[in-house]
Amino acid sequence: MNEPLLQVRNLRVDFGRQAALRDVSFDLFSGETVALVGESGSGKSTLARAILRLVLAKQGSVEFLGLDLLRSPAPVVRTQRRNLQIVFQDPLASLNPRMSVGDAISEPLKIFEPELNAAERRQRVAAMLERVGLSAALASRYPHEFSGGQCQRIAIARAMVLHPKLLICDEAVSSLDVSIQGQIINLLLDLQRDAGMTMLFISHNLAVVRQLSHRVMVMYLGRLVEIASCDSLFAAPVHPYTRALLAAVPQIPPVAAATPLIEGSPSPGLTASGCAFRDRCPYALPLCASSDPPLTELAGGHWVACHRSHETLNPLS
Amino acid sequence: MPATLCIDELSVSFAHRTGTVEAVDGVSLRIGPAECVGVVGESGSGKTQLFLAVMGLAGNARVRGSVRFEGKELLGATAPAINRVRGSKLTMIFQDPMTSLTPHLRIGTQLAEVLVCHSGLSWAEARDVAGRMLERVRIPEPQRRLGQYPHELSGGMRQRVMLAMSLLCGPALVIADEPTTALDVTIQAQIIELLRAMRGEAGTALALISHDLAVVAGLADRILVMYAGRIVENAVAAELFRQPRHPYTAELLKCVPSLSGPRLARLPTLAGQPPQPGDALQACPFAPRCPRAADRCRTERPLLTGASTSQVACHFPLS
Repeated sequence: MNEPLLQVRNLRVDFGRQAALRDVSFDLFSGETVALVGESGSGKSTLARAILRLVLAKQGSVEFLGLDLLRSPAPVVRTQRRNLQIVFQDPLASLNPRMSVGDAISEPLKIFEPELNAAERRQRVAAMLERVGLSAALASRYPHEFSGGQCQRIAIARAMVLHPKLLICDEAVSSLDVSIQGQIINLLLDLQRDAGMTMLFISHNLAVVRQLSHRVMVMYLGRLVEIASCDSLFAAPVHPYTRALLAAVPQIPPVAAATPLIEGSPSPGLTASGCAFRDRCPYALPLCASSDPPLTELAGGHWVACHRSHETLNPLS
Repeated sequence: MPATLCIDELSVSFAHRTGTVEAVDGVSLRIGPAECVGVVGESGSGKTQLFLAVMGLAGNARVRGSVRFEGKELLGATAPAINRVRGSKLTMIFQDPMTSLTPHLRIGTQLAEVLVCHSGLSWAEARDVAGRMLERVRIPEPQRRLGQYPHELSGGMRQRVMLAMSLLCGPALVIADEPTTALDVTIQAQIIELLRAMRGEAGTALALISHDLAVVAGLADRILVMYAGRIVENAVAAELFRQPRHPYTAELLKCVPSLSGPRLARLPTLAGQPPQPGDALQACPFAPRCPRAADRCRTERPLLTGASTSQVACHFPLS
C-alpha cells in the first residue's frame, strides 16, 4: 500500500491521573474513510483533538505528510493546518454568531491564501456555498438565521474551502434529524470523492458508520480494541466489546440479540492494568486482569486487542 | 375499556414575532390501560410540547382542547387537583436525567419525598419503599445509592433513578420523553430491557416519545407519527414498519440507516427540511416534501381518519 497520510504511534493523553488515550496506533491512507466508534468517554474526541494538537499528548507521535505534528514548532505545524480540518457536532456552537456565514467561510482563505483579493474570495465563498447545497445569496446572513442542518453545511463549507487532505468529522451528523442526516452524509461523500480527501469519521452511530466507511476502529476507555475493514467488522466482529456494541443497536424490525447484553458501564478505574473491558466481558479470564492484550493482527488488516481473539467464542445463553 | 389518557383536539400555541406558532395543532389520541404507545417525529414536530401540555407544564403556551386522565379533565383543573395525580398516577421522565434530579439532595431524599407527599408515608417508611424500588430498576447496592448525590451516579444510573421515581406511586401512565437519547447504546439497550420488564410486571401504560424509530420499534404496541404539530399516522407497530401508509412515515423509514441489508453508495434522503417555527404551512404541511403531493394537498387539510388502530392523515395514502 502507499505511504500513509497520517501515522499515529503509541499516543497517550492523560487528564490528571486518568489516562484518556493509551497506546493508540493507526494509519490513515489517502482517500479512505475511517470511522472511529465507541461510547462517550472512550476517548474518540480526545484522539481528534490530540491529532490537531488541541490537547497535549504525553507520549507518542502523530506524523502527517512526513511532519511530526506533536514535536514540530507551532509555526511549522500551522502551515499544515489548512490540510487538516475538523467539523464538530454542534454547528451553531462552532460558528461565530456575530460573523456572517460568508465571512466565516472566507476567514480561512484570508489566512492561508492572502494573495486573493476580496472579489476572488467572494467568488470562492459563493462557489463553496453552492457546493454544499446553499444559495450563494445567503453569504451575508448570520448563523442564527439557519437551521441545524444548514449550519452544518456552512461548517463543512468552511472546513472544505481550503481543500484539506484530511477532514475529521467529530459526531458531525449526530445532532441532526434522520431526514437531514442522510443529506449531510451524502454531501460529505461527494466532497470526499471529488477531492480525493481522507476522512476520519467519529460517531457513536454504528448504522451510519456501516454505510459510509471503508475501515472501522473501535475504541474502549482510551484504547483501540479492534480495527477492521467495514465489511469484516460488521459481518464478523471479534472483540467481545465490538460484538456487544453491535448487539445493542436497536433495529427495525426488532431482533432478539444473539450476543447477551452487557451489564454495567465502563469503569475508568480499570485502565491502570489488564484489559479495561474485563469487568463487563462475558469471556474474561484471570489473565485479562493482569495483562492488557496488545493490538495484534489476526488476518490481513484485521487487528484485535483481546487475549481470546484466536478462539471461536460462542454466544453465551 | 375506558382509556387511561384521552386527548381531544389539543392545540398548543406560542406567540412568535411572525404571529402565533401552533406547536401542536388539533391532536386527538387515546392511550389504553397498560398500553405502550410510541410517539415519533423529528425535532420541532410537537411531540414533547404535546405531553408537556398533558402534564400542565406547557409554561406560557396557550393550550386549548381537552385532556382527560382516568376520566377527569386536566386542562383548567385547579392546581391541587392536578398535583394529586401529577407525579403519582401520571408521571414523566425526561431526556437528561442530570437536570431532572436536584443536585444538592440525596437520591433517597428525592425518592422518599414523592411518597411522603403523595402517599402520606413517614420518611422512614418512604425510604424503605424507595430502596426496594431502586432494587426493582436493577440498581446495584440500592441502600448505598440512597445516601448518594446525583453527580455520584452515571447517566444510565440516573435514568434508572428517574424511572424508579416515576414508578413509586404505581402510576397508570408514565410518559418517557427520549429516555435513552442521552445514553450510550449499550446503556440504552439496558434501559429498553428494563422498560419492557416494567410494563410486563406493573401493568402501567407507557407513552414513549422518541426521534429514534428503532428505539420505539422494540417497545411500542402502537405508534403515532407526528409532523408539524399533527398526528399524520397511527398504526400498530408491526403494521407501521411492514406497510407505512403516510408518505412521510414511508420516507422516514427509508432514511433510517440499517445494520443489515446491502450497503448503499448513497443514503436515501428526504428532500427539503421540516417546517421551522413561523413558516406558513400548506394545508398538508408535508406537501412541499412529499413525492405524492397534488393540488388537493395544498388546499384541503387532510384529516386523521380510519379505525382507531389504523389512521392516516393523507389524501393519497399508500396501500
